Amino acid sequence: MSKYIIDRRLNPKGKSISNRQRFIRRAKKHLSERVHKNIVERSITDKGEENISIPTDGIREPTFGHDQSTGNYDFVLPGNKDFVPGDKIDKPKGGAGGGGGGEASDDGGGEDEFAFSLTRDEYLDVVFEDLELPNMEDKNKEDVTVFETHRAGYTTVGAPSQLNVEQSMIRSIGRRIALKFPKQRRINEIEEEIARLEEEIKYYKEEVKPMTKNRAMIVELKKELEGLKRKARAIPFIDPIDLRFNNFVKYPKPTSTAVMVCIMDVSASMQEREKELSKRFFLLLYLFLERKYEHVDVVFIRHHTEAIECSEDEFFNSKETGGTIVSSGLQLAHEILKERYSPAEWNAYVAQASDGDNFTSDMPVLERILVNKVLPVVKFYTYVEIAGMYEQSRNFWSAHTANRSGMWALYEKLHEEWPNIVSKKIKEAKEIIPVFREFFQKITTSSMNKPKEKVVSEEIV
Amino acid sequence: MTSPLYTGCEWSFPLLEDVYAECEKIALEELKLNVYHNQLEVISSEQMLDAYSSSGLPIYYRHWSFGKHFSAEERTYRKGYTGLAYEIVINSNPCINYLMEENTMTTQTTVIAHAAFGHNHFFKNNYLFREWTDARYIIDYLVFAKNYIQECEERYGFSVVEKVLDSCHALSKHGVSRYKRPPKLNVFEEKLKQNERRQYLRKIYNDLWRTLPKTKKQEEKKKDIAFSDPEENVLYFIEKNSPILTDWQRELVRIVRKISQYFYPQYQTKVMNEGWATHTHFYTMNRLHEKGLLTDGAMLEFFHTHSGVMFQAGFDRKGYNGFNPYYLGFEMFRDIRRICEDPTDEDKEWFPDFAGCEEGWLDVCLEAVANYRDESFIKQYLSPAMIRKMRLFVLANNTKADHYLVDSIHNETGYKKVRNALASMYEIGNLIPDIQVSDADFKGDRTLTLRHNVIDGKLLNNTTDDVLKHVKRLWGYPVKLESRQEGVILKSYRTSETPQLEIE
Repeated sequence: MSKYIIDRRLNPKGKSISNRQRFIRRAKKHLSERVHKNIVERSITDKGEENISIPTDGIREPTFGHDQSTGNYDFVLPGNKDFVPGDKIDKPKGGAGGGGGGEASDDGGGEDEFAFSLTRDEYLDVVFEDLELPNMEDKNKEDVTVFETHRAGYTTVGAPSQLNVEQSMIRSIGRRIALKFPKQRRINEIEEEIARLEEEIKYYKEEVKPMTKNRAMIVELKKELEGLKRKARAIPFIDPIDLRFNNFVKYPKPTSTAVMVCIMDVSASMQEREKELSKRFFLLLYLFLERKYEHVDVVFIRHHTEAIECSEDEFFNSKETGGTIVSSGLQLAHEILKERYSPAEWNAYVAQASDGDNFTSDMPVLERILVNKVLPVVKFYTYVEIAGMYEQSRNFWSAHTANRSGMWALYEKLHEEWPNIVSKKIKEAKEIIPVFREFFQKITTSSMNKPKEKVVSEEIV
Repeated sequence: MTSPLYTGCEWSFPLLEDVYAECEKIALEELKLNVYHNQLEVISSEQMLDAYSSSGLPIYYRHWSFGKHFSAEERTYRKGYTGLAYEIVINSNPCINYLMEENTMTTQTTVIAHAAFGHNHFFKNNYLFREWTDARYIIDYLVFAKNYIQECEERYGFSVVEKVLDSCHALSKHGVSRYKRPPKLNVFEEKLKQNERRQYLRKIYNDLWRTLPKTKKQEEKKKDIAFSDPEENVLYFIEKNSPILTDWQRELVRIVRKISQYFYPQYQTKVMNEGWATHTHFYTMNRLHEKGLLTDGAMLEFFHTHSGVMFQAGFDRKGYNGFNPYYLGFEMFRDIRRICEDPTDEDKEWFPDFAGCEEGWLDVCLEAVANYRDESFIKQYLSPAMIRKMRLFVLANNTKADHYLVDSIHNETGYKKVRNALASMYEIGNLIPDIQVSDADFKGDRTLTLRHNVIDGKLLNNTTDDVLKHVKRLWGYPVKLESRQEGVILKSYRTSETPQLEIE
């Protein structure tokens, strides 16, 4: 009996991916609810896999089945120890009969929940679903400096090292067929035939049988042979017109690097809670950028009355006190961008978090730096104002009272002219996701707004 | 004495060849098995997970529900709640056996004996498999189904295809004709038929036909679908008679129905199939050891694996999860052998046909494998000795009572009762509710009536209304379901009245 042993281990795995995508699409609604709830509750950095359980409605697969609590029937169990006929055993509470035995809800979670794991990518897909990075295309078209080579068919000229043998041979064969290149088989046949005829001639003495017919045929065949050979010599096996070379074309490569500048106010008014909220926001933005760009650099700038560039750890954990001069941070950001991140290669994003306090005298300076130095070179400037826990009403008013000397008022004013600067307020962790989504959804709609966009792109150039 | 086939635990392809050859010798010469050609495929654990989600089939059409099962399996596996199966075997010709890469050489040997010979023989010889499945064409059919469904998705959109499949899946267990032997599958014919249908439609297509009023005769003909007998194959009935389905939708119903039919023998022969495969590997491993082809160490490892698979907890133990088909089936086959070779007086009284029979235990077993399913197998072969060994007892459930009554135990008066009760637990009507199409009101409002034949007063559970919604989606018009016992309606269900003439 024959058998085959096949090693399938190298076959592509992940045959289920497409089914899984279908499943995730199906469960989308519940999934995004749970994910958005879950993301603000947990730290975002160390997400390898995420366990999610979702309600089963929508992914239920009902079939006809028996209600085990009804009916009058007998069933059998193994492992009797001391029962004798006539004994009574109380039914377990909940009324489930023992007959089927535990087939109810073993596939994860309780009866109404379905638990499974999302990979990091799938998780972030849901988090950032329908969000767009604004102004992303502009740069690609204009400031291209990097090129990528792609294959682009074949050409008739090229370096010998790029000769494509297969393509060249295809043409060589075609040409030879078209020109009726004599077949080697035919030549062999003729030669054999001539040899055979000559054998025959030799067999008889010339006086006995002159074999004129054979001789005539030989002459005929030799003539044909001659012709074929001449033709074979005239038609080259490979001709310069057959040659094909692999062709490569240079495409401009979209800038795939981004720099994200995080600016945070660490003056006395920023407490743990404010820092924690800012951190979450920064991380979210980082993850978002990371998905869109191949490489993302992060620059941390903290400031009170003066600004310093620092490490991530210092950024979030060191304690400083003092007053607030926001423009110092912006000035430093501008210098760093100018020095290290040329706009031709880098997409610059600035994220600023603050509680909204600034010295009044600093406001005109801040505005000047923003308008002249920062906003023209950054793709997007997000400002989150962390509202104090008990100060909501004050901030609410500060946001809506005209000419109040808050950063909020300034940024709102700038937004009129510069759609790439956007500000939002955050009070609690659960607001971060909605706010984040607003940031990036709002811009897509405002970029629909043609005239405004035009202004931006012109000035950016 | 011959030297052992292998000593370490690492497997290799040449070793697999050697082991296969030795197992084959034992299986064909000593056990007289009759098997399909084997195709052994070594796969990784990732691929095993993939295979899980498609019911073990090497190819399956795409649907979210497989993704859902995959996600659940993947999670429990990665968390370490469950291990993966050592093998998967597919009822096809050639018979495809998946061996896991992680298995040790001893496990691979066990698996080869178990799947490539035990299951394989069962697939080829058991009457249910012979009549309800078509090992030769199944893979081709699955390829056809996958491509067809993909084509439908491209042509008509994901969402509508998904809806039709969802609804068909809800009824897939009711897509089998239980009493009529189905025609054999033939992919080439299926394809041909389909093409012909399409060509014909294309040829006769003329938009004018649509505008012609229907003649009386045609109308009459449509109404006259006679309802002589109830139809137990609900999907078949829908495929042929649904007033709203389009041609391709009917084809989808047919695909689900055909694949469901392929699985139909499997859940009716779980105990026998696993029992026989386990019995085969147990016999083979012992014979290999006797021949000196297995080391004592390998044999100990085998016993460890074997006893893990054979675990049967008592009903009051923590690990109790119903009857373990491996255990029950294996012990029954062993018991048959014991009865043949070393019968007691009791056995002679209970099994006069074969107790101490001369032609040998093997023929008795092969005969059982060929001609029984779980229910009849237990009814025929469960011996008092087995009932005592497993200490089986019968509980009587009465809906109204707040307790179970111990009806019979493993004693002289109880044996028959225990045996019948256990057998009926494996009866198809007890596994899957018996639901049939009893009427379709073609002349009136086109209501489809399903009848649930109640057995022992067992009613349907609370998902019934959801399933009926799926039936309605395929039928388009109101659907009602009646649970009847001896003509009395115990409970009835009804979907909404509004017709929905299109699946969208």
